[in-house]
Amino acid sequence: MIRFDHLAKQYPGGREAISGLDLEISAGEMVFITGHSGAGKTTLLRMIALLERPTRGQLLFDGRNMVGITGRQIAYHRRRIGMIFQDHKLLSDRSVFDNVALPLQISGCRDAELRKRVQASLDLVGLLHREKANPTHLSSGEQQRVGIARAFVRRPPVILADEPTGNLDPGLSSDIMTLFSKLNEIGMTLMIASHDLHLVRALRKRVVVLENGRLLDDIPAGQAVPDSLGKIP
Amino acid sequence: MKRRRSNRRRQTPTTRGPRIREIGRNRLLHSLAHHLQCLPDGLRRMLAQPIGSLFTLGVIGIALALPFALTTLLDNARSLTDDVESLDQITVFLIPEAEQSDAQALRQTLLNDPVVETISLRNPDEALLEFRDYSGFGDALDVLDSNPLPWVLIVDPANTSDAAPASAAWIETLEADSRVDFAQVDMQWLQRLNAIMDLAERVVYSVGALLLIAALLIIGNTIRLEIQNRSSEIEISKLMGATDGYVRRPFLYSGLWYGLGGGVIACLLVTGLLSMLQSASGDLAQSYQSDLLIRLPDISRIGVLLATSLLVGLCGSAIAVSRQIAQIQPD
Repeated sequence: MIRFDHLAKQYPGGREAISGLDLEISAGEMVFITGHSGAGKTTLLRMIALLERPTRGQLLFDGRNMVGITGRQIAYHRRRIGMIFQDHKLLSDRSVFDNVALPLQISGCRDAELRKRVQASLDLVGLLHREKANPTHLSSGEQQRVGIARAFVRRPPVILADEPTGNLDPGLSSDIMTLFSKLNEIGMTLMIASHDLHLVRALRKRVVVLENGRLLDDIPAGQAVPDSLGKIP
Repeated sequence: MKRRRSNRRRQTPTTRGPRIREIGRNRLLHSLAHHLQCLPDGLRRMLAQPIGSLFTLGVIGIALALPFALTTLLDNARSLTDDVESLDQITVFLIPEAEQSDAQALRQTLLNDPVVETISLRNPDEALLEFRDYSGFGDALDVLDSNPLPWVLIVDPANTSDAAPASAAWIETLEADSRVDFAQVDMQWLQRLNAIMDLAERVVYSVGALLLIAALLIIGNTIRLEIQNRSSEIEISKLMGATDGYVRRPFLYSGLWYGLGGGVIACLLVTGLLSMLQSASGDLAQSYQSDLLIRLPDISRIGVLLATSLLVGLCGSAIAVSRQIAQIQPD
């Protein structure tokens, strides 16, 4: 589904966030990206969404090289990705329903279909009863669930989550992870950048460990994450 | 530990063509639906902040009202001078030796000319009497032993639009006639009036252009602020795969509404102002026993105003939007 070939990203100023990364994510996988702060987790996810452009190498998404695409093709590419952010990025001037509906409006979904899909999404994250609420009146955990509903509402093949549990307490974090597992069971490909090794361990999914922009380890699903990684904050 | 990429989504070339066409049609329908949605949305957003919008619309309205009022007044003046121009007469003085028969012969020849409408003859005795009555030189004229005034032909040119330029050449040929002393067209004051009108027209158009640019900049700035206020919405929309066109559209329609709203205010202002002037000019006209009246802008002029203001709104927002939307990128 997603493949990196010798992918590198150098920021202006010379710092290399990703250097020569080779990685392949298959359709239907759930992968954790972990590593120290500054290891390149966020840059990796941002490159998939074309929020950053690689300086070297190839990025294949569904068999197509994404490096050269421009203009509206970028927009169409982003419609095939659901994105979840640490700070939720919800719009405070509209209701939960309208926030979740935004991706569908952008894709040009019709009213009846839109309502059905938004409600299904909110139902999945357990927030159907709050659809008229303003996101600022929700708790941080609920806000993140709205963010997940919004990422999921278009049923994209891939969901990217950047530190989705960064601001949440452990109980809420594990709720969110359960939700991700549910999405994965429906067949979605998920890439989740996370510090939270307790959660990462508990789920026993594939774990990609980055260090200074390089692949340090790639632990397949079902295998235990070694304790040597425990020192990652 | 790397996995092999699956080939399951590869499409055969034969199924791709119709599918691409279908996607293209869907996108067209989608953007059409979005246009229809943005049109009322822009108006709703403007009405959601009535006081702020009214201030902005007022400024745009006044900026548009001035050129509109000036061009309307200019039109009034223009139609007035057109009336004057049609009164334009040529006075042909014959040589003192010319007799009545010469005058009548010349009149007959000239009447055959298509540029001539009517010719009246003025005989020297009548003219002298008239002169005596009006000039106040009656006593001085008694000193003269003979009538110094010649036969005079007063020529009314046919009412064609190119009568004025044609007459200059026409008068030359007329003056070449041995019976004619000289022909006088009281054109100079008309030419001056025309020059003044042309100057006024240019002033009005320059001032009008400046004010249109002012309206354009006001709308551009209003839209720029609106974009700033909604930058997080733009950023998130772009993250969710909105094209620049999709993001631009609501702001373009906002600009359109601002332009149109300003145009309507300008129209109300000018119509109100001119109807006030109209009653005043009516009194003036009555004292001169004339139908000299300020006319209100007609439907076509109002149509031009509204179309212009709409265009100004659209251009103003397009200028603001094209630069700013591209600058807002998700981070």
